[in-house]
Amino acid sequence: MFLKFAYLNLFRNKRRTLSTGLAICIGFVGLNLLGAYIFRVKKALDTTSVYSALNGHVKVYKKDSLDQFSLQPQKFIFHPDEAGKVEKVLETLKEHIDYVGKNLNGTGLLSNGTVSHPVMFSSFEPEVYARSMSQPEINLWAKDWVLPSQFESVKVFEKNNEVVSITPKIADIMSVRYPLAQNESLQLAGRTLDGDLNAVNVDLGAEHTTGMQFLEDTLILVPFKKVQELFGTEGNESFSIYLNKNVDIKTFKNLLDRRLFDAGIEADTYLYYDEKINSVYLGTMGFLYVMGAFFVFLIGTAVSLTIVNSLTMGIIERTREIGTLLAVGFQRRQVSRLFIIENLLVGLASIAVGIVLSYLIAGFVNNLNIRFMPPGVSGKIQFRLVWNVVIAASVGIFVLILTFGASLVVMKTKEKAKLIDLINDAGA
Amino acid sequence: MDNVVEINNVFKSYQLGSTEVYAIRGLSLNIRRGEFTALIGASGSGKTTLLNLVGSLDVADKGEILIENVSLKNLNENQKSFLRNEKIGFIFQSFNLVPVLNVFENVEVPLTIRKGLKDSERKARVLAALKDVGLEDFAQHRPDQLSGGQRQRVAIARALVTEPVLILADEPTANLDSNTAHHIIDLMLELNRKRNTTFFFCTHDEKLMSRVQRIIKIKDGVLVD
Repeated sequence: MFLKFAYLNLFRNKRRTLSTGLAICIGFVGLNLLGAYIFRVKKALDTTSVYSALNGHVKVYKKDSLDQFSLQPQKFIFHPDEAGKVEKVLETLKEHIDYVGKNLNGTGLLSNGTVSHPVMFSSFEPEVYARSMSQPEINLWAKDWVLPSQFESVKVFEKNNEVVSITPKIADIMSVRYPLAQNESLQLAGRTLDGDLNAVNVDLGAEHTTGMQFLEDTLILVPFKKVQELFGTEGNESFSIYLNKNVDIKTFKNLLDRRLFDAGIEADTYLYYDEKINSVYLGTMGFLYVMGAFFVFLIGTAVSLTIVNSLTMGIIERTREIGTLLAVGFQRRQVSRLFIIENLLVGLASIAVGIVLSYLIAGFVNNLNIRFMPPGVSGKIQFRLVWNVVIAASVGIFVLILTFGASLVVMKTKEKAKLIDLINDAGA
Repeated sequence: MDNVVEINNVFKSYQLGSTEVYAIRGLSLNIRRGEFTALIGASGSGKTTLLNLVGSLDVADKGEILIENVSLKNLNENQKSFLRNEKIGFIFQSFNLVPVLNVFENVEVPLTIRKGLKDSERKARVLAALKDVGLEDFAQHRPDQLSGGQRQRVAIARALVTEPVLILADEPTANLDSNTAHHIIDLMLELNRKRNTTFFFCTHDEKLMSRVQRIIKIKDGVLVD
């Protein structure tokens, strides 16, 4: 009866019910699409951080290596015997691990005989690169965050283990032909770990984008073996661990830390979004979360005020009815429950409409293929809204809680009205 | 006959600006079970205030009111709600029906909060009350589809449906033409006889007085002979 009564009351003042519903619906759609945008950016950053940037989900360095490697590389590199110990530990965790890559990064000079350009280089192992680029997440979340030719690079690396990947910006700087000629020779000069000058021959043939404006004229990808040759070492600076799907990465990191400690290996481990190895991720997501929280506050306040206003008006209009209900034996909390149910029904209906609406809007916006260049990003990316059922459900629950809370506050305030004043319609 | 209502030396005043106006002044009165009692008096004499105090819709400043030997003074808000639902039926001057509910649902309202009442029993009670007021064929109508007299019958059925010991009616015929008013009083009398329900109502319609078993006059908040 309560439910039916509440339902029938929604048609009492259709215009107000509609305006309240509309406010809740717009609030829901706004929050849902905001969530869809943040979700898309997070997924894209997750994917590029783990796979495109070849960081893996967890990275293992020798203790304090992150700060000290460039100063004392011989001390902070994993020498083959130490690397072997780490690999043994990783072997004990193989049920969680998809694959593992080794890294060796540094700085040097890239030269084609005409132009020399200072670069930072990041190593890659062709098979790790191939596996990373073939991850479905790349296509799903970060297709417009990598160059289409990067998928082709996999085949190039398979055929020739001396090919480096450069960015289009570096290609411009070095005046190399575009599209890149295969097997054009370059020289990469740098210092060995002992401090001596050294140079290795590499081939041109692949290109990539870092995604970051400040790295586009700097970062090249060099085969791991070539970097070892340049550095005169058989060791590696770090391990990138790529985990199986559905593995909780924090739990894995804790487990790995314990196993490394038990094996007597002094190492630091970092999750892919750790500020120390991925400040861009943390900065971007931090900004989006703050912006999201601000909008949640604004929209939440607007929705709450609309509900408070609508409910207050409803109570004023139905003062005598409330008095009558109390007179025939309803308790005040039962009357409050009736009004709250009414608002929750409006909320539920609005959310149902909002789910369909936000889904359609997201599809429409995605079809428009709006492209823009966010600050600091090297190329245009699509303004894409990824409608997600978990986000929709979470926002729905949030909006319902908001509706319930706002209704409860109003009803608690109005519960203090005297029964005789309500009967006499002297205001609630 | 035992007393359904006992009113002992009750005072009630209202604040009108800076002036304190006494609506009831030291009034004492008993209403016996099954009585059909009219409270008459001029406007502002305290009729409605007294009815509201008896119905626990308002609180006396001083004195005591007992319903079936239970003092209203000792009851909290929820207990008063329970008492009103179990023992008292209300008929209001302007009917106070819920516009979005049909006749059946309006009558059903006080029973929806009764615990332990089966659906079938609730339905039977509503139908019996509607039959008693002659509206069994109007169960699906909404209040705005009924005449004033019919609406007041619905209100009477709503008051009856809980099978209360006392029905309080505040000017139940004030919004009706005289013919309909007589019919409503006839109906109340019939229900009083048939169900032995105690009726305590206020009116200033002198034409209805001849039909009433007991008349109590009130003036300036005190009973007069």
